[in-house]
Amino acid sequence: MPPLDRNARPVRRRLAHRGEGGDATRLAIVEAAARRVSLHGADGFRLAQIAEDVGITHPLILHYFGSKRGLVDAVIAHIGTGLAAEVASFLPWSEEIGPVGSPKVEAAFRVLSDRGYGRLIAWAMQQEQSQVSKAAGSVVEAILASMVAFKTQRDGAAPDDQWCQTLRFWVRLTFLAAIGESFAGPVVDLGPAGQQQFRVWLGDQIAEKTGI
Amino acid sequence: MAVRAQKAAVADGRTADAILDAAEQLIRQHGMSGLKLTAIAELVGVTHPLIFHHFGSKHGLIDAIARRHASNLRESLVKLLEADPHGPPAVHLILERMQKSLLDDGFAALTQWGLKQRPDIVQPAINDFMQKVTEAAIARRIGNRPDQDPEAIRAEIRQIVHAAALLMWGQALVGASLNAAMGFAPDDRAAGRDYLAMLLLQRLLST
Repeated sequence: MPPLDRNARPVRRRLAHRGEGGDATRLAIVEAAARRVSLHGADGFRLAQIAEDVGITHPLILHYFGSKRGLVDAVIAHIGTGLAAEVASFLPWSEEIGPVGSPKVEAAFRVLSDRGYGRLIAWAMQQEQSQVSKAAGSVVEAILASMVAFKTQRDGAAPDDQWCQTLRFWVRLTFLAAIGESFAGPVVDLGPAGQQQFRVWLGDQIAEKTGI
Repeated sequence: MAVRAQKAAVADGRTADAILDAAEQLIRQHGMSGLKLTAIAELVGVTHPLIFHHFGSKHGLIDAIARRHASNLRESLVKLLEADPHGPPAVHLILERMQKSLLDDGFAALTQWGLKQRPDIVQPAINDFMQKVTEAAIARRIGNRPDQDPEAIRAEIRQIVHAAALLMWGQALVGASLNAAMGFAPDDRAAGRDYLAMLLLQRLLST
């Protein structure tokens, strides 16, 4: 999935609806739906508006996806693929965090908050609880496992349970806080500079608590 | 029977409250798409046009819900900052009460809805809420640690309250399913808060 630009206006495109244009149209529909949801949450998922963004008629969406549910499933699969690609950039874990913040924490906020994946994940969880939360869980587990592997290799010994619990807590905090921010924006009005400072602060906390 | 009860309620103005209660309940349960007039009317046991009679239009109803929620936010803030027998509430207690207001009964879903529908009404209430919580925590901390630089305390408490608020927000919206997927108990809402409270107690508070 290409990066979501939440400030971009929907692009109206005329697409060929037959033959080789079909796949392009399908993808355009799914992308338009994802963009709508990332901006407006569940309210954004309206077939008429999605069709308008793509420059096609509403019934054509049903022609491609069978039903609204069919489109929902396609969008969820699309989000999953996009998220997997984003997560790949976190792995394998190869750097110390801090002392002046963490590029990884900032990247997590960029993906989940700035680019709207937080809203997409929350929406997807509403649609299909078990499948999506399992996927989100395994994403977080993969990042955790990679961080544990990094520490093990660096220290020449596996970390203890206490350390793993602490790491788990902080990674979960980062994930939830970034999703929270994607909805609530800066809850405490920190301003853009303050928002950046917060991400740095969070990175510093993780560095201090986990030593990586 | 229903008609008589309804007329009595109209007479003493309780119907308007019942309609607002029902609308809130639907938004808490179903989020953004919960506000359907027919569903509200059915819950209250009145006819759909009676909602218009009380609120003028759907917009009028949305206004009324947003205003009531903003005033509820202010009320919960008062409770949050209420002194306990030992003086002003400790920072971890403030966070605990904040978690309770934000998470109970879909409060976050309702706030989210209000922020989207009427940001002009709900956003100032939220800003006020967060600002007062932060100030109270800062005041408590500065009072406890006269030896520390007040500016440094201010900066750090701001970050911690911000972290707690975002964590609670994310937790309220996707927490339960994520908890389960990450090996926490599904209803483990407190894990994050307790850790933050511990952090505050250990590193920031000397009591």
